[in-house]
Amino acid sequence: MNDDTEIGYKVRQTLNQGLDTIDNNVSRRLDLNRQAALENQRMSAGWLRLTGIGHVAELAEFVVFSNARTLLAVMALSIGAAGTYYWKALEQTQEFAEIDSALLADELPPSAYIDRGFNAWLERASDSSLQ
Amino acid sequence: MRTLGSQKELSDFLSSVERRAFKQALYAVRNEETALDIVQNAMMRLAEKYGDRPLKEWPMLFQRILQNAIRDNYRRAKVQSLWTTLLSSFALNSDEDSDFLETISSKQESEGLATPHRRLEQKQTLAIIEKEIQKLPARQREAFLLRYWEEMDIAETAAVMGCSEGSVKTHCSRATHTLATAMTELGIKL
Repeated sequence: MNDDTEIGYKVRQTLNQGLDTIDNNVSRRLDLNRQAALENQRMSAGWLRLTGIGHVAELAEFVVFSNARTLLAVMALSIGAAGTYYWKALEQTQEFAEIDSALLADELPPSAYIDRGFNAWLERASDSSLQ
Repeated sequence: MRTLGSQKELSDFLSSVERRAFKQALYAVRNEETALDIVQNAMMRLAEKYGDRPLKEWPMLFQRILQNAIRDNYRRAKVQSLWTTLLSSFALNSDEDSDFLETISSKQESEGLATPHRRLEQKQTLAIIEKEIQKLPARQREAFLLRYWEEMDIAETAAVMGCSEGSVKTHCSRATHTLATAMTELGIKL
């Protein structure tokens, strides 16, 4: 042990003896401060869920359940969006199929497809088919 | 129960350090009320922010919080002292620079004169040592107390103080030398 360390530990001994002479009021205040600190001790959520005590545990559960609710809402929204997209695509396909079958049933020559009046005819034909 | 155990562990830990923490703060700020407030804040912060950490981490965390609280107090006191000096310079014709530590030191010394003489040699020695520790520059006192009173190694002390290990060694060596010289001059043998 070198000189510095020796002096250091001798001073330490003296200072430790001084701890016993701390005023009673100060000791009481330190006790109260300690109790106040312990009441606010941070606990890990796992321990609290196991013991089921404290409002912190409730908060942890709330976080878990609110996350589950959010997840369910996102899933429902995704399923809804996918369903709408599928339904629209199906409708469009059916429309094209109707037009195709109408065209085929009329036995038109290929030149009719490049005819300027084709669109007008198509509209008329689709109107009449709807009636 | 693990939770109760943890609370008991924290309670035991705080009980074991609170008196030394109070004294450390007292040596630094030289005011009992302020020292108690500093320790209270340090305890509260440890419990609130690090209460779920493993027991072995608490000593360093607590010391770090405590030392930061002491330093924050210094800064606040310096700012307060600066404003007081500026404002009082309008009213009083003072040609001396006001230093917070000097102000409270002289106050402490005048209070010290009013206290009755301690009869026991041990108490006298303690009082002298405590006074010499108070006189040390803040960083030297911090390093010395962490190293020898809190029994931290050099690396831990450096981590708490936020400086290099070399600085810790220098601060400790200077503090020990100053204390040893003062003890010799006062004829105190430890």
